[in-house]
Amino acid sequence: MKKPKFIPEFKDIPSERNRMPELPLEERNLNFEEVELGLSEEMVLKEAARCLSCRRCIGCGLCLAECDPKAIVYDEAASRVELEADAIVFTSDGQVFNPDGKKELGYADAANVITSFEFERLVSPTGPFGGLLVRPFDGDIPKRIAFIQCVGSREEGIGANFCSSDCCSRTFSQARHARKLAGDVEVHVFHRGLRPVGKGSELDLSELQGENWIEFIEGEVTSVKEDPGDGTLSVGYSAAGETAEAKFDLVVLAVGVHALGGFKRYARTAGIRVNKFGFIERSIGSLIAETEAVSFGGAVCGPAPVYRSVIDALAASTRSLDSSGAVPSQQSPRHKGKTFVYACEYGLELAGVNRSDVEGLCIVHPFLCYKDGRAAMRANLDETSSIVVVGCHKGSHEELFETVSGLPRGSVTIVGGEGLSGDLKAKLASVTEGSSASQLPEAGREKRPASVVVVGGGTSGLAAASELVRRGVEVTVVEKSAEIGKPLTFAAIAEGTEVDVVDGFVKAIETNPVATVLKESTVAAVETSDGKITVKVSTPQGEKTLEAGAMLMATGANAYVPAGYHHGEHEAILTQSEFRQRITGGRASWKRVAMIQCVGARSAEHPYCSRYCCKQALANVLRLKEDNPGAEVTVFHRGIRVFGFEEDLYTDAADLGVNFIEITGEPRITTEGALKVAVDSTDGKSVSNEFDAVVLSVGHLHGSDHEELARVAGVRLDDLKFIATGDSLAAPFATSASGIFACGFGRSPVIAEEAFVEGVGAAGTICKYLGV
Amino acid sequence: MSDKSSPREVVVVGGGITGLTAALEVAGSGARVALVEESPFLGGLLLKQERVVPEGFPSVCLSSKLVNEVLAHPGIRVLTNSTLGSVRKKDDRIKVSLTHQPGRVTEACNACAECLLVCPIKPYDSYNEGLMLRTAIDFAGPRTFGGEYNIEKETPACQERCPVHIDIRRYVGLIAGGRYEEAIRVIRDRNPLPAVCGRICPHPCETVCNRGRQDEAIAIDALKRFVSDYEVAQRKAGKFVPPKPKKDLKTKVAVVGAGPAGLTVAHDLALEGYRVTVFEAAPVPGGMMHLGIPEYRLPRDILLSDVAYIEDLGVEIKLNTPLTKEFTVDDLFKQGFKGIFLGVGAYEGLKLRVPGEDDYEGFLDCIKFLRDVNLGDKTRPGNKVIVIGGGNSAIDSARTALRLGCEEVTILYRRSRREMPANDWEVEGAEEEGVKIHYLAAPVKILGKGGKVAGMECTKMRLGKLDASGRRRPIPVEGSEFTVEADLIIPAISQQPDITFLPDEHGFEISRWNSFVVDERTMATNRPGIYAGGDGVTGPATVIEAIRAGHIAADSMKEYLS
Repeated sequence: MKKPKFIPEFKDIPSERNRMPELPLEERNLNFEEVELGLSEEMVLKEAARCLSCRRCIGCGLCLAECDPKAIVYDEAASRVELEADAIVFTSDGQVFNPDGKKELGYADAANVITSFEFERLVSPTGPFGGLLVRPFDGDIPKRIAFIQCVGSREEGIGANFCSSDCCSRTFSQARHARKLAGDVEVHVFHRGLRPVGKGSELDLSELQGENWIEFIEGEVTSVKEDPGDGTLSVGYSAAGETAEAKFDLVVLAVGVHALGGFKRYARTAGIRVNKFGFIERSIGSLIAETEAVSFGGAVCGPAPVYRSVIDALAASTRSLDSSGAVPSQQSPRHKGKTFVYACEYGLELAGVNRSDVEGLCIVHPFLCYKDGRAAMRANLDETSSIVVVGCHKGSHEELFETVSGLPRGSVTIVGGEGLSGDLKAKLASVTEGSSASQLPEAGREKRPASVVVVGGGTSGLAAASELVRRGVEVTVVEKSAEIGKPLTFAAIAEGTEVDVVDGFVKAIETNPVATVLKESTVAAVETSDGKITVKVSTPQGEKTLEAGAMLMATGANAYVPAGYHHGEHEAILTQSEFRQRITGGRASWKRVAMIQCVGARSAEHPYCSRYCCKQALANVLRLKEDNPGAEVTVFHRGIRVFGFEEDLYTDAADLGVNFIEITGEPRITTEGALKVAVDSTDGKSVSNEFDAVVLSVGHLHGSDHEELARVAGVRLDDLKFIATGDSLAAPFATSASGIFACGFGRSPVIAEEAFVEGVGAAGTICKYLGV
Repeated sequence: MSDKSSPREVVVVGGGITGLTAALEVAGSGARVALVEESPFLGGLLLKQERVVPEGFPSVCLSSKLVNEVLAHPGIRVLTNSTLGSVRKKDDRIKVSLTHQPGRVTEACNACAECLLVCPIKPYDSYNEGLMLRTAIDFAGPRTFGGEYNIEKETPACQERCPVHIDIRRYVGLIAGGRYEEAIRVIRDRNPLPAVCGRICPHPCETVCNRGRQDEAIAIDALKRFVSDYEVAQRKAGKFVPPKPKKDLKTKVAVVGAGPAGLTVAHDLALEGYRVTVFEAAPVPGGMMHLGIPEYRLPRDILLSDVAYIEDLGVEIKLNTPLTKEFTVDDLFKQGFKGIFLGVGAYEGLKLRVPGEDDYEGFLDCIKFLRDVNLGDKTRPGNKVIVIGGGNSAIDSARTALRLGCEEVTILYRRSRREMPANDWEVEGAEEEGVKIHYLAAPVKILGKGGKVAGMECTKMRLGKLDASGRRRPIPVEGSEFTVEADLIIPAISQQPDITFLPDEHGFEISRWNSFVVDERTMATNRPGIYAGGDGVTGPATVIEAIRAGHIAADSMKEYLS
């Protein structure tokens, strides 16, 4: 926490320390009279008044005197609480890096240098300036803002050689928000390679790169100095081999998140191993070995973006449960009364709806789900039979308002998102009517069958299947190939987990009495009725009809088939997977190896990062260098996208002398005569070099499988042709069809560990849906 | 696996979005959840980030949804302000222990926010990253959110640092209001020797005082002295109402040594109602406070006033009654004492280990020297005096020697001023009074003439790398020897307990420094019913450290005796 300069120093009790009077030197001769004479009463009273009480409660009693319900107990003491449980889930947030020690960035001294977390509070409506963007030095509105990325992340020197994963996206949000608040603001982002995370973020980045008010500068910031006179900041940096200086009004340090200091100790007592950064580093091996007694998710497993943390939470909570079954929730009798319509001002603002458009139609509140908003809602409760909420999140907040109001399931309708467009007035009228007449949840509705069809026997599918059978749910795995668990085995080998462990895991599912595995099978038709899903599957033995309570789409990824790279025409042009097989087979004795990243990914056709390929390429490089230290490797890339602890792979490769060249446009491969790769590098040079082998990092794309399945099942796809799932933060596995869920690569690009976690989480969501 | 009939119990650690989501999921399946969060509010890091819109979902909405659902869920027990202590696995169950800091605002709170208007204390608002001020009574998290009020009444730095954790802020506040009698009661609650400590405590509380960052620390010790003297004056004027034991338990307890540790044990146990007898070897009570610390720092009437307070509680102090090989702890048990505390101090000066040390007259250990003076022998011991060492006893010896009329007093210290363990103000006082201090100098050999000390050969030192004590190790500079004339040499380099009073088969575990080995949490020795503390356990330390040990010992003795 920083002590800002615009808050006055505590000078409200000015006085100097009272000096102790002493016996004069000449009177001390040859006697033992006391030297210190003590303070006089007058001095004592003055001295005692100097105490600042450390700015904490002194129990003065003023607030209790004002408190009508007498709700204050000053002398309540700390207590010890002993808990006993069947399971424990560790989810603690990490610790935001404190940049005090990084003197060159001026944080400790310069008022106008703040962290990204301070920026959030600075511009918050509940923050110091009521939502205005002003700089701390003098309250001026900043015209030029610099963001400095990777402060406390990707820094080996401070023991933090990992990417904090979330900061680039946060900076994009904050830059946009700054622009919104302070109209003509100019933003510079100093970075060491951007790492936008999430399937939509690449589009977000390219959109920003097209704006003229924001500039991205790849380089190293060497100094930040504040002019003591006017608070202007000079940022010294080196980029493209040259040093330069630029002036800004505000500098935001995009600080990373480190492991919580105390976590190591609990990890030790719970028998969990942490990595050198103090985080739990997950692998396929550790995920398989995880028990139901101790599980973890979120920032204890490494810095992660928000939506990953939510998925982690779903997985960790699933893990912590057993098959003891759920307690069915009691339906309370329905109230008699009318429908009340409320609107959330913040929600309307986000959707671009003017408050005046809904005035008179509903009760508007700044934040409806905050304490006073809920209080307003409860005030009408006696007369309420149902509630309509305008401007909120469909599919996520219904339960909250039901709980708050005490109304039964189905009494809350939310009009949000797309529902806010068009003639709002008419829409509200129809919803209000529909809601009053809305049917009660059907009494005695048949319980959904405790069985699930999992489509896809890959990493996420098997993780889900394993979790479901553990909870006693009947599972049928439908796999199109002749073998299940192949991607899982592949990922496990790459990270060094024993193949036996994976084999054992797969076999346990195959031999489980409540699990059936249909190989070489595909889904032909899906029908949903009355909470039951009927799935017709074509198997080698003919068509089978399965009845289930839910279906999980775990269709996984298909490697892009590279076109235009002479793949298949030249024996030394391979994909990373083919290359890996060559290395493990000891057949990769090439001297000069080129790797080309983002083949078929981050393209116009597939404008997202496949997440997997940089990690795979770097792992392969390291493996190659192990077997063949003399190999010269050049990696042609368009920005290395590794996250979290994968950073180590990147620095290790760089330390081994791997040549990383950032390029623009497509590389040109020629096979006539020698194998050559010609590229245009970002520093404006065209280079052509000869190689013995060219390895293509092909994007993993969701294949035609899931598109076909989505069509058959009536499930909507998103703009990027991934399976559209509910709000990624509230219902990440729900598809547009009731009873059908999705996890893994089909809904968003993932690496193997993430796919596994998603599978576990999806299993939990399904169990909840099925009521088991 | 839990029994089918009772719901599964799960502890979720962390109140951030991951923890909140996990808690809701687990509770949603019918399990019972305890959600543990260290800060006073739920929501974690994301709660503060209102403008982040990850994947199109505003974080405000997410935090609000999760926090409110968790707070309203009947299956979730929310434990905010709770720090994880230990996590153990036992028989398929997980045992978790926590420390819960109170919120101090009860559920009766109706969120009217009146308290915020009147609270006079304005700390930095950590929720807003210190960018603004808040009040000591606060909303946990943002104002409109969750609405959990709480009062952060954490232990102030001074109280935290004080070895006996006196509620300093409180008594300083009382003094500021002129409420001296209440102030001394707050001090006496944790410190049975306030008048003594008001003079000679090295007051680590002032070192950590937050006012020190502004200008200078509060003169805490001087304030304590003022109210203690106020009590002493009341006593002298006959206006003092002596304290009374809470009850009469009749159980007899023996305390060996009337130093600060022993007196504290006697005080605490007598107050509780035990019948305490203190066995003191010296002809005066107080231990090192009487025999070591000179009168010019601690007038004896002041010391005896604190002792009298303890005697008022019914404690009997038997002077001139040392434990010996003939009068042992076993004899005490035989006399009917049910518990024994050994506060025997550390009275044996360490040897210099330089040639000539035992050969000449005029060589006097500081402990013996100070003891003689403090028991009334005020004859001039010599003319030119060398004191060796850098602790408070060295300074005391030097300033005492000056007061006895010695003409030249020199202190030799082998490190520099920075490393000197003596209190700064004592060193300054000594220099003012005319004591010469040779820093970076160490004795090589004692020089003698006619059987008497004539001086000392010394060498200059330089500082090398850090040693185990965290100070830089002094290394002799070759060829830098010099001679200092003297007719009296007083080594004051350190002391250890003198345990020659123990019989051969005493059965105590004794360390290689001749100190009693105890369990630090209880001060229990390896012999049942016998406790020890103070310098006799730690080696030379401060009065306040001895008081701390006394409190711990008294607490565990109460448990043992009941």
